[in-house]
Amino acid sequence: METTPTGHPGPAGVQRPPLRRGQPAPVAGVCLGLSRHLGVSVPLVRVTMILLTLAGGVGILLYLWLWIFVPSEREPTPEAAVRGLSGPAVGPVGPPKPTGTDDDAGTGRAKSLLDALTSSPEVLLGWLLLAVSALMVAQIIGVGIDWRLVLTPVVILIGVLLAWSQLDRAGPERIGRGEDGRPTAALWQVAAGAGLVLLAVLIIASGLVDTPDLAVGLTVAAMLLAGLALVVAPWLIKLYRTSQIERARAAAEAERADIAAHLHDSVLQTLAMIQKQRADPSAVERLARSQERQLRTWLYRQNAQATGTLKDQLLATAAELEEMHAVPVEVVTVGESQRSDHTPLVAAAREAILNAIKHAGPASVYVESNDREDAVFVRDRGEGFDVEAIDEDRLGVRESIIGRMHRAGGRAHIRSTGRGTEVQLFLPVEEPTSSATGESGGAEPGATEPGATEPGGGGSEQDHDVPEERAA
Amino acid sequence: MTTVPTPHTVPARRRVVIVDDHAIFRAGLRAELADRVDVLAEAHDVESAIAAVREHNPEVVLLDVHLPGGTGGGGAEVVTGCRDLLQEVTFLAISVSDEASDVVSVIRAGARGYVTKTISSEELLQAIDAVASGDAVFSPRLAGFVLDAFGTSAVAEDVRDEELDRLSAREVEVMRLIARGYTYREIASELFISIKTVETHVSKVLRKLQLSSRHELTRWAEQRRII
Repeated sequence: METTPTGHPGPAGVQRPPLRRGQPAPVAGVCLGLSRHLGVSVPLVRVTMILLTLAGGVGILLYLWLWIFVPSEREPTPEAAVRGLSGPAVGPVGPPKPTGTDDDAGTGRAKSLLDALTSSPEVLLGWLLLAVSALMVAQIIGVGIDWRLVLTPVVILIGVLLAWSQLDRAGPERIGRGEDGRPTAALWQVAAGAGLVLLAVLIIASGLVDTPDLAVGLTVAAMLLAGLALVVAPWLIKLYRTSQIERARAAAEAERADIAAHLHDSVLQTLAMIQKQRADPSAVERLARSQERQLRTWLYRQNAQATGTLKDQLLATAAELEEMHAVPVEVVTVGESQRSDHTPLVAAAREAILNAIKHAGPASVYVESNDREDAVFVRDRGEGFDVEAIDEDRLGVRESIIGRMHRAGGRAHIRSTGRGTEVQLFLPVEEPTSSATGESGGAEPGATEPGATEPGGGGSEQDHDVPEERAA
Repeated sequence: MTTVPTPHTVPARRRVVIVDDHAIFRAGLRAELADRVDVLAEAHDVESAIAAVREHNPEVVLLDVHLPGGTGGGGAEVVTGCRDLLQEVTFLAISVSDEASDVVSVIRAGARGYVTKTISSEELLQAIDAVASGDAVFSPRLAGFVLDAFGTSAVAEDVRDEELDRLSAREVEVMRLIARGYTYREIASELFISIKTVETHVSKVLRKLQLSSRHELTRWAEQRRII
């Protein structure tokens, strides 16, 4: 099916880009693809095509031939993934000179002029109309022109262009679908194209035979077509159905392979490791827990990509620390943060979680975001420590938690008793350094602790979901 | 997992039915709890669960949220099917899932609490005790869901009891502390109230969660494709 020039290596043995119809193209991308393949500039190919067309329509035939048989670069081909889709528009290596037409200068100006004259369908249509008017002028002058010889090929051509231009745009599965506008328009376009071609064929036929004969011929043709359809239609329908089933099956197969690959990478590996480390209960527990977390993420949060929200970042941080230290960290989140930059809060929270699981064991993290501030609470149930004495033995706390929050415009409190420690981190939405994103956040001056009761807040709730309630 | 030695004597052995479609999990749970509660029966799907509950009339049903059988409603369908027994039988939902939809559907059907399957035996026993004596059991995550659904802003101090679609300031505080990982005892000392008061607040929140027709709750649930 490949056209002849495809496989040939260049004169110097250089591997050419494969012959593919280029995509950002006015008509079908044949010229662009040819120029990429041959290493010739695009306008040159176009002009050659047009000249060939003038020479008895060879160019048009060549163009249509290539249109049918050369795949578009958008179509997935097996090699495409390996080779890359397209080469540069103008070959970087010295292009072999084509049959010289009017390439006397070869300068950029000439090329850009040619490109401007040939690159858009409107300009090409203009050329066509000019040609028609030239013919008319010739007729007026006195040259006898048989219009049927000119008109019918043009009508056929337009019909073909109309019908085929939809071939690239819509895949085969989209043509029939009529629920949204575009596919229906495509259908109309194809129908109009087919009508034009039929009309042209009728014109030709009427030139060959008389009208009564033509009527008889049409009837016979219709009967023949009907008979043919009777035979072929079930086959076509079967073919269509098979291709649909194949497509569904391929999709299911792809999904199954995806799941299998994921299970193989994660669950099976973990199970193997658990079997190996069964003597070490803590390792087994860690493995099981991290696997559970992964699988859960994959099952429930598959569609939510890593969005970079405060919630996601803290979940990721907690998962990472949990895995590293084999201590469970539970994260509960409420609300969505209005801030755009969470770096200081996440870093401080990370430090707090790390402290908790290093010195005290399991930690629970609670994140609450409202339109005023983001709050993170990290709680553990260790023996606690003397908050006043932290500057001696826990420099990390002072610097990387309290200091970091203050520098970022927030604050941090540490409460430690014999029954556990809680690190409380607050970061207001409106920060001096980077722009705040919340639309209503700017109205609140200062930051109040979310636990505090709003004075007289009975009438005016300041929750962010209130506007929706009013709207409904 | 090993059974935790009893620090204090449990007054009475609770009568429990375990409902879970995974036999391994049922066996594990039974082994964990066997010397502290009476496991009357096990069930593996919606129909057998309803039958077991009706037959044995337990105090507490440990109910997995995801169950085969019935009309596909899972644990919530079991609770609905035993609605006439809810005075005597309490349901404690136990799930691996973090999905808000799973939790809220079973709570709204009438379960008295929700814990995750990774809970320790000791905590699970406490939770069984709590629901059996009429209290509600909220995991930190469920408290988080509640705050997400009802909103975190502190509303008027004097929300009337019959006002179902708002939490009082105190209830928000209690929920927030549960979400932060505090026990009822710690919450009580934090807020200078008695444990009984904390339990009352939690029960009220549970009632609101079950009965509220609050617009936000509906919308919130719809977003998570519950209803």
